[in-house]
Amino acid sequence: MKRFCILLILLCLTAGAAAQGGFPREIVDDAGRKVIIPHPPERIVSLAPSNTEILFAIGAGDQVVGVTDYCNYPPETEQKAKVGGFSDPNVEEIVALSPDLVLGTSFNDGVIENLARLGVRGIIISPETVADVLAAIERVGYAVGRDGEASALAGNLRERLLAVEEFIAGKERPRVLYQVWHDPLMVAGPGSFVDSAITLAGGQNIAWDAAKGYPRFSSEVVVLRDPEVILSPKTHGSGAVADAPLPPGWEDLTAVKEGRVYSIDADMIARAGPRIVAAIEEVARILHGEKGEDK
Amino acid sequence: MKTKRPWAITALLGAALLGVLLIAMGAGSVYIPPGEVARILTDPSQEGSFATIIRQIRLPRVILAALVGSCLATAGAVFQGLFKNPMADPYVIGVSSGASLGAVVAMALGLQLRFLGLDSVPILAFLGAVATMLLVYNLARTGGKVPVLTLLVAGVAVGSFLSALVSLFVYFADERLHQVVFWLMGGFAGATWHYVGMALPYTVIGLAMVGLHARELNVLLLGEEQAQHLGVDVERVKRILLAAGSLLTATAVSTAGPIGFVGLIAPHMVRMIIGPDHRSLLPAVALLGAVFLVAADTLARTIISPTELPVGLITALCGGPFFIYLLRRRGLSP
Repeated sequence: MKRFCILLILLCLTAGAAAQGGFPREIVDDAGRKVIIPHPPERIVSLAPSNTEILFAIGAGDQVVGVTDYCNYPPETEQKAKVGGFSDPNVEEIVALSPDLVLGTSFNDGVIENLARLGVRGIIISPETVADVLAAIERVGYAVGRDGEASALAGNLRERLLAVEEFIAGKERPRVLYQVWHDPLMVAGPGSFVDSAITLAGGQNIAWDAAKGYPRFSSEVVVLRDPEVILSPKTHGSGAVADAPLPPGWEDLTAVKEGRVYSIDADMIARAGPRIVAAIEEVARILHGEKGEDK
Repeated sequence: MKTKRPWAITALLGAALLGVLLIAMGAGSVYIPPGEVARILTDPSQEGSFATIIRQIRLPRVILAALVGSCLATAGAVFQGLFKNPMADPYVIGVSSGASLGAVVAMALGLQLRFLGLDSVPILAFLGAVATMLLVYNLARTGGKVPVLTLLVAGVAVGSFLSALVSLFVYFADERLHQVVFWLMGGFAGATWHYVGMALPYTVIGLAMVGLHARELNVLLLGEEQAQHLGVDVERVKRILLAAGSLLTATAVSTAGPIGFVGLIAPHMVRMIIGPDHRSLLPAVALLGAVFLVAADTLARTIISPTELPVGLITALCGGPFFIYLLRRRGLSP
């Protein structure tokens, strides 16, 4: 009888919780897997800096128990357990944290599959464009029971993107080179995340016909297409590209002659997280001047 | 069947080098017609983006590829002769692993030294290569002699050890060290006149040292005892050839990264065609190495332009089948 009572109370409690947050919830992840999340996750492991940033931005930071070695934002990530690298996290570490949800990207497909075999629930959220990021924020919010915060954040970012769109409307699009690396020269190619950010910020990427992703690129073509603005990533502790000597023949580029060579925080512009919008705002300012002032 | 006129082959290769250099100057992501190329090269007052491309990007790149090609091919011929081993290549005594370690250390520490316009990577790569050569040589020395077999084994062992250190660095690399991976693929995308200035004197010195000992290399092929009887100071010649081969390899690796295949197959190709006499073999090998690498680099930067491929991919993809074809047709010369 006593046991029955406890069971009954437990049942009521879980039913109540379920009714409260609408759990269990079903989500189709970016690998096309249908995953049931039975209750709001309390122990989340994030396998990518972008997803970590999304989780903290929607107020789910306290639910996070593990992140990767590369997760460096926000500063609170320092207090979380580290589960190893980005594409090769330590599966044992992850399991030892007994997570009730693991959030990976398409790089972690194999890891998520392995974890599923071990009975650990995982989903893949892998935004590929800026629009995807906004959707990803809402989907992550749904998966971890932070719907309200997520849609507020997504709404705010959407408004800011619209403001940028308005700001750049009708303005000439300067030719932009995004220099990922200097030797060998590597650039942001078409379809890359950075490429879409440049377009949204009102620039035109001069590497529009390169291979996808972040390919090696011909220095000769840079000279011929003469970028008006050069952007390069700045990572913590090293500004290698910005500090490197100018490649030969680049002295006469418009961007160099006019002093329009800038470093951008790589973590902001190359990560599919909420800070991409701030990066787009910054690039828009670089390309078109402060609001109100005409460049 | 050996060709009776090796000098005709060498002249042919010289002409081929001129031809491929001319094509390489015009071809690229941006096609520049030969007339335009000639005008830009002969008239310093020409300006514009074509002039910039030719003078500051293409010309140093093409020249560096030619120098590195002849360094690698000649080093390969020297080591194959010295070790009497057809598998020997410029990297056989670990020089490239030493250079790689030097480059990786420069990148890992973020060293910012500048010397004659070069940054720390080529400088440390060169020092790493030379230090490895000295280490291997001293490891292999027993009682005033350096048996080639000991040298070979010591080189392979040291090379593996240094490669493991490089892998260790790469494994623990943070984002900053991603460049190591690209450096290890090799290539000429970063070529500047400074690199040409660094490579040229060592290439000339190395080729001259080898060329002056072509006869001794022939005699060494008969065996060290025979050579001794014929009045060759075997240990001294070995030392000189070893130093020259390593210098050539160090020059190539420190300016272009490790590029495979050229040093292994160019000597074999020439040997199959004009025979094993080093006096006629060496000039032809140096020329073929230059032709091959300039052509490979031209392909690397044009095939899917404006995206560039790593040149090592082309050398292996094009060199491999052609080499096997030659092997089937003519067999391997000693």
